[in-house]
Amino acid sequence: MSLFDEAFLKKIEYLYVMSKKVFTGKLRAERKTRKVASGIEFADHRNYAPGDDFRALDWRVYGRTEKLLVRLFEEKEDLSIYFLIDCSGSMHFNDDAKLNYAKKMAAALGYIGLCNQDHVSYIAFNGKVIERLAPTSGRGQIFKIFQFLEKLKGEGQTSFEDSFKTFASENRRRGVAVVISDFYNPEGYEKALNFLHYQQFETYVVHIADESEFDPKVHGDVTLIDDETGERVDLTMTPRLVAKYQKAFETLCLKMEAYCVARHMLYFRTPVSTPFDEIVLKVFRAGGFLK
Amino acid sequence: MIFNGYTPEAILPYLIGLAVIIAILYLLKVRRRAVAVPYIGLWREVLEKSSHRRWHDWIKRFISYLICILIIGLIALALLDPRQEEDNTAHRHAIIIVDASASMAADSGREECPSRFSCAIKDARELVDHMRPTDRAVIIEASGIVSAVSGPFQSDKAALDKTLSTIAVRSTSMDMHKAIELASHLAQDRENPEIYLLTDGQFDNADEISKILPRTAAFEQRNYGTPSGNLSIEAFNVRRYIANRLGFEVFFKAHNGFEQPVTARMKIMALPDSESTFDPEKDHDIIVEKTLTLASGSSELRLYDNLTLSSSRMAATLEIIDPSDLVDPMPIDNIAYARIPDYAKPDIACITPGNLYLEAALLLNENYRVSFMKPTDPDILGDGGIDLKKLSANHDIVILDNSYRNLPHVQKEDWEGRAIFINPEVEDSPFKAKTVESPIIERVNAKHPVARWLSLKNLNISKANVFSGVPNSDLVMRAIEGPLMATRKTNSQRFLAIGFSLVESDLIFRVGLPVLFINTIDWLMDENAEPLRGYPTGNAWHVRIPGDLAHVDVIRPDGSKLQSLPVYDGSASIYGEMSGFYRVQRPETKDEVFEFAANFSNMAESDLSQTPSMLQGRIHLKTTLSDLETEDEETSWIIRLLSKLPVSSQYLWVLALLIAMGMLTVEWLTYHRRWTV
Repeated sequence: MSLFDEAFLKKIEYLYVMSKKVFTGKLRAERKTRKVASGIEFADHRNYAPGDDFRALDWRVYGRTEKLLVRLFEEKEDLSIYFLIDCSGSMHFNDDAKLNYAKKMAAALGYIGLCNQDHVSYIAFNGKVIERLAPTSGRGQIFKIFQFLEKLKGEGQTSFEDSFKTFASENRRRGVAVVISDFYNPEGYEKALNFLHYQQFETYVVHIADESEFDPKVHGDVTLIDDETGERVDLTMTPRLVAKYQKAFETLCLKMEAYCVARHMLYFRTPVSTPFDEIVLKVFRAGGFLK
Repeated sequence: MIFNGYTPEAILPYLIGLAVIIAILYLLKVRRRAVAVPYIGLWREVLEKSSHRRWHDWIKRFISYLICILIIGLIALALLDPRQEEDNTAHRHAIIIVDASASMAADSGREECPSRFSCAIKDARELVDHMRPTDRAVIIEASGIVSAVSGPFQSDKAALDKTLSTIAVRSTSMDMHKAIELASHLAQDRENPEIYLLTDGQFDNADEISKILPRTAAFEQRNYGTPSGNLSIEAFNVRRYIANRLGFEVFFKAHNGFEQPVTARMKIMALPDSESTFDPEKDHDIIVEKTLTLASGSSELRLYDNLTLSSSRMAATLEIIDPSDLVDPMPIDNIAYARIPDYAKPDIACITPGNLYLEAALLLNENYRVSFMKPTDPDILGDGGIDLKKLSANHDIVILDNSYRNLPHVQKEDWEGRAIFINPEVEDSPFKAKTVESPIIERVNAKHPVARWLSLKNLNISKANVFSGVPNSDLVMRAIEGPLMATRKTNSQRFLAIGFSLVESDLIFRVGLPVLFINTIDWLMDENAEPLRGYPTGNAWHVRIPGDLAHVDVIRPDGSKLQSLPVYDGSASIYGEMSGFYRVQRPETKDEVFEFAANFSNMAESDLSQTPSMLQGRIHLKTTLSDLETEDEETSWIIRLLSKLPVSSQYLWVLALLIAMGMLTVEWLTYHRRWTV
């Protein structure tokens, strides 16, 4: 059965309608547009600087005030939305539950972006950027996106920093970067997110976790095997140990949320059991995602 | 410790197999499951922070393995059936015979134990108390039936003591020969056997019995009580008169065993249905109360008739009133029971054209309700003649008198009941018949109840029908030509066929004619023809069961029930060891079939004047149980501990199994790995 079936299409259409309602309300966020010397809608004046186009000088103002001012016009800007999808081995855990969830979520957000005439681009990464879909716009491109997402597989180790550096160097045009991952990386995620922030990408962090990561239902003598690295650890799973793990996981999540909030990044944590449309709407409500 | 179960060699292969299986199961149990996780770093972090110690896990697993091995060891121990270690220096096997015969209920003359039996039980308890852990004992209850009531030899004092509590005096004599024979068998091949006989010495053939005492066993006889006189009821019963079954007479006989004359009060009382034995605490209707004076060693017989009764159940008691200081040592033989047999007048239909001889013979007896009917009476006639089926359905007995050869044809198809055929026509005869002239009587079956008290050999008959196909057991009278008088008894029919006319023989002139009909009617009605029947305890009774029951339930006087006793040839066999009223019931419906009274009437047991007999043993041990003191301090702590457990200390294997099960439960509850394998 295809990941993006008819039911999925209906759902994202519904999400699109919902997003319209959200953005016509008070929650709508203002997206900045560039002010340039050419354009249609007058916006402002500024002092002439050498090198400015003489055609932009407002001679009427010069006639009245003898000051050289340049007229500025507002120019509409196309928004670029980049979806950075973690395709490492850890996303493959529990039969690709997290990866599939990430794909659905990215597809839904992407569809709404396409509908708003935004440029939507997808980047799949693990230790490096492994696949990319060039920026595309227009509603009809959604099936191209589906095709791209469907072929993604979860394998390999994660390296956020390397992948994000590659992404930033390949995409000069700044925009919204939506990072969808479980954020399991021995080297940490902080440097990588910081990098995006300093590269002036408006960063959305979507942290996906499986239910068994919140509450492992395993008891007794077990050998734990890392899905990414294949590393093994022998331990006796006791209720006490499980409680400690849960506490550690919770700490990890809270730490990450605090990190993102401190840097004005929007952070969303979701278990895969939560319907993806709920988290998509949450992203809308947080504002700033669309113009 | 000794092992009474399997030998170690026998169970070793199984143990090894079991150990291998346990080891495999254990390895499976501790095998780790592989569980995939998305990121192991978090678990590492948790493990580093926790005080997780690998050696602790290893020790826990090893302890689990040790528990498994220990459980196998305990099961092996259980199979070996360990017993407490034998002390070879004092390994006694005591056989304690307790006399439970009726005479043991007599006064002992001792203050600490009122009856001889209680003295014997007290001594038996002391002997058990003297036992050392290495000693074994068995208790034999000896009355009419001899049995080892405590099971095989055992050292469990509590169990032996409990067994002694279950023994009671029986209303029987003691079979000393069997008791000693059983003790000898038990003593065979035992180390240090000791036989203790606790009795009052009221038995015969002491010299003969002494010979069967084993040579290797120490023997000790303890006698209780001293020779004394005794007043006893020798006989008590009630019977219906044979000629007049509505009347009855009570028979009472008392015996004075004292060496002086005794005046006693005799009472006969009516007992209600609720009492199966006489309860002296309750009030009873007194039917007869008499004072009897009996000379020393004499018996007094009394017969009472025409008594007014409020119950068919009676109890007789005898009590000394003079000399007033004389005590009757044995109360058990001062009570007796009797029950009047049930009786109802049989309803007889006599079909006769007017045979005065027959009518006179039947009317002579007031116990019958006779209806005389003419052969022409339309009420008795069916389509083709006399309707025997209808008649026998309405009357207990039907008499078809064809003495004058004018009786209509008799329809016998499918009839059920009782009948007397007198001179039936050849075609109406229940047996195949042929006519003969002046038959000569060859044989009269005197054993047949119908022929009781009759002399028929010289009977003169002018003409008769002789029968054929009559088995010898049913034959009453036979001529040279063939059977002349015969009976038949099936599940649905019972009849007598007389092959000659009463008026064509000289039987009508004989006194035997009414007797013949009394006998026949008694036999047809299944009335007990025996003049008096008693049920003395200590015997196996063959109780005649009326009707055609295949099994019966019998409720004994103490309320205990003998279930589904088979009835063979009309009788059920019951061993009686208690006096009182026995009730016979149908097993299916619990309807009472009948009731009878049993009495202790054993003059040998009641005679307490005999010098106690003594058996002579062969050897005496240096120290027997009776020489030892009750042990307290010598008991080891482990024995004392085991004696407090719910399990008998003798059966350590049960203890081993219990421990193994307990350990399994604890391991199950505490070892969390259980959920993983």
